[in-house]
Amino acid sequence: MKILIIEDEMDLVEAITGYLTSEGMLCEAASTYFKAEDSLLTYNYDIIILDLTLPDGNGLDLINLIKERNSNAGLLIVSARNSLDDKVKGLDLGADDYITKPFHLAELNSRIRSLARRRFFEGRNELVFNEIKINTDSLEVAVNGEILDLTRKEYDILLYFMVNKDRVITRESIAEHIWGDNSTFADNFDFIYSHIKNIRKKIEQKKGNNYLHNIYGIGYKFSER
Amino acid sequence: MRLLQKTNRAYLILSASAFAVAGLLTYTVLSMFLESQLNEKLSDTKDHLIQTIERSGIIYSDPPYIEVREEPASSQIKDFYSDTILFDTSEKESVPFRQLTGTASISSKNYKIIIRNTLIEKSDFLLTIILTTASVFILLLLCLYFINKKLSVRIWSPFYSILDELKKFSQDNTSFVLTSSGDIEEFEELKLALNKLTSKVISDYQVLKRFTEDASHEIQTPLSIIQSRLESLIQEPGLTEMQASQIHSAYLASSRLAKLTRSMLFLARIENRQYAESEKIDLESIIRSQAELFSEAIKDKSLSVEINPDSGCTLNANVFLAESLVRNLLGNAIKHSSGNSRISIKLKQGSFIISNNGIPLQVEPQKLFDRFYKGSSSSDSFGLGLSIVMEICKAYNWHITYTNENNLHTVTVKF
Repeated sequence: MKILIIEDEMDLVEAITGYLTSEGMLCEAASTYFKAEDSLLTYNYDIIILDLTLPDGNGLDLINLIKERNSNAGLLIVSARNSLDDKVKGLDLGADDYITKPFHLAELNSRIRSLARRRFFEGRNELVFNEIKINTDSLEVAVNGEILDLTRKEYDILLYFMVNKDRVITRESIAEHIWGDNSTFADNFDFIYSHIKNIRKKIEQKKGNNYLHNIYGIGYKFSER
Repeated sequence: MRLLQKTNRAYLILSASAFAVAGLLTYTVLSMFLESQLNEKLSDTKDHLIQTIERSGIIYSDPPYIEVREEPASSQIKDFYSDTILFDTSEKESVPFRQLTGTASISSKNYKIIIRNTLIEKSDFLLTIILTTASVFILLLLCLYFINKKLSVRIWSPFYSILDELKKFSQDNTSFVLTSSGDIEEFEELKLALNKLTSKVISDYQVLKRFTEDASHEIQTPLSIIQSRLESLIQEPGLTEMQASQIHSAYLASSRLAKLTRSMLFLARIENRQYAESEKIDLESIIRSQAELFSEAIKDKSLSVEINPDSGCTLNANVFLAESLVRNLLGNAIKHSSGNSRISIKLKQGSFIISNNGIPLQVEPQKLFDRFYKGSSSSDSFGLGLSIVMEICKAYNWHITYTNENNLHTVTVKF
């Protein structure tokens, strides 16, 4: 999957590229409006990550060009402005999703994956990891062919892990993914712990393996070992 | 005390004392003048009498006004004036007289001559002066009353209209300008000075609001870099327990900072009225979805959330702001509830009432909505949640109140 990152903060580009490359994606970066135009006119991309504040222009103006030259590409807007105006305008102009700085890399990855699923598999998709299979259309999880009885939040957490497999996912990142702005209120870490305990138990009931590992008390990792 | 009252009072006291002095002065001067006039007249009468006696040889006497007595030649006295009181038999009362006593030698005979003239009674004289002065004083008061009623009111009217306009001043009203006009230079100057002042206040306030927004915004990008770098670092295989815990605490601090700037940015944006889009909102469904998001916390504390919706309670607002209002109020209620209790949400046309049981408030109720004000310093929160609620209410002119009765904490929002 080929990705164009239009972002002027090179440090951020490096961090995103690092994360996505290890996920098997091919990343390219454009740090200015001018360079972005150049890349868009020259190549085709599957996903475009667009920061609205560029040193030499407004990212919103690039959307038309993207739609013209790369109409198949999924477009994800990144903004530090957290402005509803931008969000509404961006989505109106044809952006597929919107994420606000600062964000967790796992969250960005999860958004890109979900965008890719919607774009390239015509709405039908299955994520498979050994004996675990997630159908993102019917929101069902099967272990060894048997459907798990998961709550909506348990499903969301498991999907988040599967998309970001072999990665350490922090508890903060999970909390924000599940509860959004509500995550500031309660001591969510205990709730995450109990959700994960339930997921493990339900997978084990269907003779599945435990792939959810505790990492240093920072978070969890969904992986083979 | 009002300005008019104050000046009137001072004027009244001053003019009353001035009139009293004037009355006293009039009395003294007039009585001195009258006395000298009378003395002159008595002296004239005496001269005239002596001439008449000399010419006619008849000793003329007309008591009590004129008395002439022959005296031995040895008793010569110089003319002198004095006051005396004689009993008037016809009027049957004592009457004051001015008298001139002297001697004169006519045709080598010595006569004692007393000439008298009635005096105006002092009390009558004083009364007349007091009455005159008092009536002039009353006339003056009438004039003053008229001046105040008509003239002053007209003169001060630009001042009062400036004052009325000024009372409506709010730093959020960027187009505020004093418009009342009049023909009095001082008030025009006052108006100009005030206009300058208010526009400065407004622009400073705008700059401050802008600053908060810009500063929070500028923090976001470096924070993204810190967070994503730390997240990458966590991925490194073979971290020691020690390294991991250090990275984690840096990561926690940056997450906290990210949440803080997000809240501040949100607050600044509400203040800057950047959530203009509004639509018809079904508050009940927002409450239910927020309650679902809080379901773990509700279960954890064994709370029951009772929602009493009035059918068809809708209002026009921004979805994002309405969600934030409900989130903060419900989140707060859950956080401060005592375990095994009930949170009640009443939804009526025009009002939203949420109440929970909990220990008495540790903070002053009126400070509850202040920024960065929190119950305990150890608390994880920033103390911005209720400020955000307050700001949302301000943006829509909703009225929010907090009451506490027998440890039942109730927040009411009236739309």
